[in-house]
Amino acid sequence: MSFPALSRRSRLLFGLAAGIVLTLGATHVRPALAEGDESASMAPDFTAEGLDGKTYTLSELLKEGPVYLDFWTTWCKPCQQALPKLDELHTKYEKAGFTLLTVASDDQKTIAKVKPHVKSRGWKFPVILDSKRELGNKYSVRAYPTSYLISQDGKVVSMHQGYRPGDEKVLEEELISLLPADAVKAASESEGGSH
Amino acid sequence: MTRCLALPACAALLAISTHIAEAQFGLGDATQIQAANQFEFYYDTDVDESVLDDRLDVSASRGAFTVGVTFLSHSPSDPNVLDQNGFGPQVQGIRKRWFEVDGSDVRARVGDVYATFGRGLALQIFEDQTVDFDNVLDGFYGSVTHGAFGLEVIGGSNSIGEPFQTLKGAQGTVDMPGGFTFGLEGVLVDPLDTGTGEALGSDRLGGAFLGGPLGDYVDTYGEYVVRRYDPIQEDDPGLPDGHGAYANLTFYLGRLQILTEYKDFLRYVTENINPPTAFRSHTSTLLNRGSHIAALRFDDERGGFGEATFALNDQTRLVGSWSKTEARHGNYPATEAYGEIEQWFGHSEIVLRMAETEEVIREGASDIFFERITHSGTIVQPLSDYLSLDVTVETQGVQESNRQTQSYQFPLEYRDNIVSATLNKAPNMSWGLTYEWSDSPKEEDDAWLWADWNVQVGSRHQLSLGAGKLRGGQLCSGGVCKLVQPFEGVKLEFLTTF
Repeated sequence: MSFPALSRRSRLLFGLAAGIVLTLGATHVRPALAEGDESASMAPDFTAEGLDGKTYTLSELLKEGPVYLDFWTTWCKPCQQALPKLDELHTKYEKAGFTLLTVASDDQKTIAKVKPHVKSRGWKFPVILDSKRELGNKYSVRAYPTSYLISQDGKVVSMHQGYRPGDEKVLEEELISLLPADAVKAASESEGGSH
Repeated sequence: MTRCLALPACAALLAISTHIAEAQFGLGDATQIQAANQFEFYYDTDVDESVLDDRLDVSASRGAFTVGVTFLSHSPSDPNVLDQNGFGPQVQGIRKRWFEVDGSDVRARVGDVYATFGRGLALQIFEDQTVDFDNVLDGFYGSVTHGAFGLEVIGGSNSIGEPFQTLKGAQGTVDMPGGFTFGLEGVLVDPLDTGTGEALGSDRLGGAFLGGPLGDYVDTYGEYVVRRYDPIQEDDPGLPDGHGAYANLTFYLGRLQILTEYKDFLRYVTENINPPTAFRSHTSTLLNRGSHIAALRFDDERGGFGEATFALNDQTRLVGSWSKTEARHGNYPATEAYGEIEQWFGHSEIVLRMAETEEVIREGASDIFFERITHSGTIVQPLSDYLSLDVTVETQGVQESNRQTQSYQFPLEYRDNIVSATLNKAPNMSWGLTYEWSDSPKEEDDAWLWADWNVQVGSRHQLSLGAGKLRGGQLCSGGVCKLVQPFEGVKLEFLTTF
């Protein structure tokens, strides 16, 4: 849609106003709906097949404990820095009910690289292929990595974009608050014993 | 609001909606709202122009039903001078809108639709926001699965820009014993004259694919598509049949993984495809800039790619790859040899990369030969539990010569260099500094300095502020590349996701 000829300043001011309105609009979408509607920050449920051939359903995984959903690609540098750290958390807290579920968002051009990429690193966590970005669109993923920590009642506890070394420590603190204390203690003792 | 192109498609959607509503209403009775807003402002001090871009994606779901809309506001002070995102003239309004019904085995969508058949040889309608690519269709998409069988159909016309085509396509798949999948695909495109809107011809693509595992050690995939273009105008001779082919074999041998890819394209220049490149996609800026991916010639290109990854131990990983492609008739060779070592020292990580690339690119009436030797290294060093430093150094030596004039006796030689450092404070802040310099005689400037600050505000807002001078050049994301213009000034980006 094109606008009639406006002066340069008018166009700029109009654009600024539109930007502010849209930004504020987006900012207010959730609070407005959240009033009296506890489902506003619920994680969308899904069922998808993993690289290992198993079927993963979010609501089923949540019965065991919290889920960390991480969207990544093989060509994303921060993703590759983050995943080994997440793998450590997965190994440490898996028995406590925690699931790290990662979503490889490589499209058809690079999809063939995902499986060797995962196998070469020996990662044990489940990986879902989302080459058509259907799951990514459900979760409004705009950049990689984007991650969601989902509590056992299905609510999105936190969402994170990008990776900075140390993020995994913050995640671990959040995760511990969602896990039963005795399971966390057992996981810590088990880790201590394994060293 | 929704322009439904095909009445039968709308009727089918209505029937499917009714069916799913009867089956599922009450299961998901809570309304879910998703929204994401991207606001970007940039002011180029060099040309004294500024741009405000804002994109808002909102979708609402209830049970199996979802409706979505994308608003776009693009306000350049002068669209002919500054338009880094490539949106063109001033735009304010609805960019995309769609309605979707998603049952367990039936899915239908009208409005703006996307689809991929096979590995994208016959059809890939997709969006990549990193490089602002979007070939979305305005029309209908539907998929049905029944046991081992699957069917996808799509139809519509291009949604962005002047109408230049109408498209219909279908793909059928069947899951076979042993984990194999076999598929048949067909796409019919009618290119339109953008001036008159009249059909220019008929572009038909038809093919098949087969993929699956051979035990625990090998994955296989193969796809072949034939292309036939028949013009309507009598004086247009058309083209002989073309084809696109892709094959992939991956071997898993304990600590060693070997990936191989083969491609073959002939008279295959057609819209709506995005096949695998069979060339390496890099994380390195300089290697991406010189990547052959942007110079792929679908009219005549064939070649292969092999990559071996070996985990020496838990701390060391080695990657070696080699790719070669050439034109069957025009001979435009491109090769790349690449090696990488990733080493962990406790919590520190070092990655060293080296690559040698050679290619011939047609520029005007000349064939220009490029040889690039690139060295790159990255170190990520934790300074405390939450503070870390990430430093990357890249250097690339380039030799350039004209094959027609045999200027290789006196090639043009230059070197590009980048040093970047980022200080990260987990979980929400980083400061970055990138300095790039070059002695290329083709550049007006010889140095570029860019500083940026990123902060995550709460868990759903992200603010990025950058200032300085950017060199521009090729930007690649997931195998798709675009040319970015040089920029000097300030950029502000604010991303909100709900």
